[in-house]
Amino acid sequence: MRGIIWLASYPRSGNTWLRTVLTNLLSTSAGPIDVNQLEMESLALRSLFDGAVGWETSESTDEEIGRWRLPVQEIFAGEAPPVFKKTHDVFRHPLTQAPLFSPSATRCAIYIVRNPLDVAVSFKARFGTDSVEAVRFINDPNAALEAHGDDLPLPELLSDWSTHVRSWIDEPGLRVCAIRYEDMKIRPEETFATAFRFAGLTLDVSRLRKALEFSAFEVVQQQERRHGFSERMSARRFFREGRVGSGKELLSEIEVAQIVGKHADVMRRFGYLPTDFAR
Amino acid sequence: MVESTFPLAGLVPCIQRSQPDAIIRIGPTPQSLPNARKRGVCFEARDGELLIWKQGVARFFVSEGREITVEPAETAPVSEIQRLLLSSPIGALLLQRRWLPLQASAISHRQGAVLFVAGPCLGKSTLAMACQSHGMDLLADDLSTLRLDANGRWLVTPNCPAIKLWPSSMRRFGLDPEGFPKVRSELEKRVVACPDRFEQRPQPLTAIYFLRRHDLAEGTRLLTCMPASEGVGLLLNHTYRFPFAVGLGVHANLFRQAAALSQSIRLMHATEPLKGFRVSELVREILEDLEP
Repeated sequence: MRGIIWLASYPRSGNTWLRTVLTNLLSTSAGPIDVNQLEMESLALRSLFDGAVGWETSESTDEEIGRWRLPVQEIFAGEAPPVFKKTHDVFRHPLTQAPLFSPSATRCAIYIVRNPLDVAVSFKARFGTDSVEAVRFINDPNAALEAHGDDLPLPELLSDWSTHVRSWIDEPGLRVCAIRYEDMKIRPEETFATAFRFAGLTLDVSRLRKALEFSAFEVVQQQERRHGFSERMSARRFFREGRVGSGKELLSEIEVAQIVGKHADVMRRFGYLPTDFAR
Repeated sequence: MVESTFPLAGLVPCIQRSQPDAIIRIGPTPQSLPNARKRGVCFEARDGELLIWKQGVARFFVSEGREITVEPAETAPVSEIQRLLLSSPIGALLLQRRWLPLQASAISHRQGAVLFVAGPCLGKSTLAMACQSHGMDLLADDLSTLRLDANGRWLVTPNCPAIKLWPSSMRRFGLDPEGFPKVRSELEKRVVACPDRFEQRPQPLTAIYFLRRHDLAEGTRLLTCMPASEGVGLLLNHTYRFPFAVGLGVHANLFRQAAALSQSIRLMHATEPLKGFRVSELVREILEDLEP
């Protein structure tokens, strides 16, 4: 069936893990695929975008890149199925409400949601910011992963955490399978199988088990230690800890309150509201 | 060598008059290419022909590796049309001629031409600039072209005597970006002309360094050997506008060229550490590596 299956998430929510499992699942390799050989490239990958357009994005304006965005997706949608693409973008532009994803190029989406308290801690460690900055970022309606001229990926527009989540899971007409990062950790086989079946893959359970084994945190951490990780844009480790519940332990009470105050509705929806905030 | 009725400022003029490899002329272009094998957002390609356009600037029709027809939009600045002309349309022309255009900068060392291959924004121009400051001449920036000569040697063809750099890279070389023209008015990327540090003759290829960014501990060597088998995939991944090659029907030729090239030329990984700018160290290691 034609169209892109989006692997979408707010950053630091398990998207790379999902891609790692999927790559290993679709591979016939006898051993783990290196994290530097992951398929399901990001929509923000310049070389991919340039190839679909025909011109260099590094010498194009934001306006031009924005104009090409949906037509590029139509080009990708015409590739041999299944077409998986990773993205961290919010579904609709928070100011204009214009969709950043082409309905006609989209087949469906697997959306990963992770507790924003843990996302904040992961952000802090990954980008070398302090907690205050991490909290400010995930509460910022204009948050974006910016390219600064000579950075590699194209900019990605995120908005704040709950706007991001809602933009994907409540988008009218979009077929979306929302999975929780915490379930990927606790019940991996069941959770990944649900997502992959939703995407239309015929699943061989023994292959899924093998793919999960090849994508284990220790395996990818070791690969990163040995060969680095090409998608990492800073000197800090990408595959860091991935622990569930670190936010509640490591953020201050004020920081937890700031996140909960901003995102309580969506957190409640996914069972993330700390007990002391639940009424 | 090209003969052009369209102005091409900044290129090296030919002194000897001989038959041009290709002709660039101004004229009407087709509205579309029926039965195109490959369609992108701004291009269509089929055997021997590629049509590419930029809204409000120009349309370019590239045919049979011999001719580029430029159809400028009414109010488009000539400099912008030229900038575009020297990128994707020229890349398509080279592919049609069965040459091997790579996303690479190239410098001339006394051992021969050296390529720095990388995707967009990964530092190939910065490295070429650093090599220039170590006494080597530029052969090409951004788009480097390889072809086999009559003796079966891979030659790197000179391109434009200029390097395009972002202000952050320029400052690393002590250059004030304000003193250099912008690639285009809306962008901060600048053009650093280097006519005095430019090699105008094709040079035999001696080595290819594939650039990547990784974290490295201090003291770790930045260069590592690469098996030929890995090189084939990397060369194909870094073919300039590979989707054009598919549309033009020349991609099988590229596979053969990449396989032959990776068997006959020294291939290395060159790592730019994620932490700390170590380009001088990288140049030093490359110079050591190139010495017999």
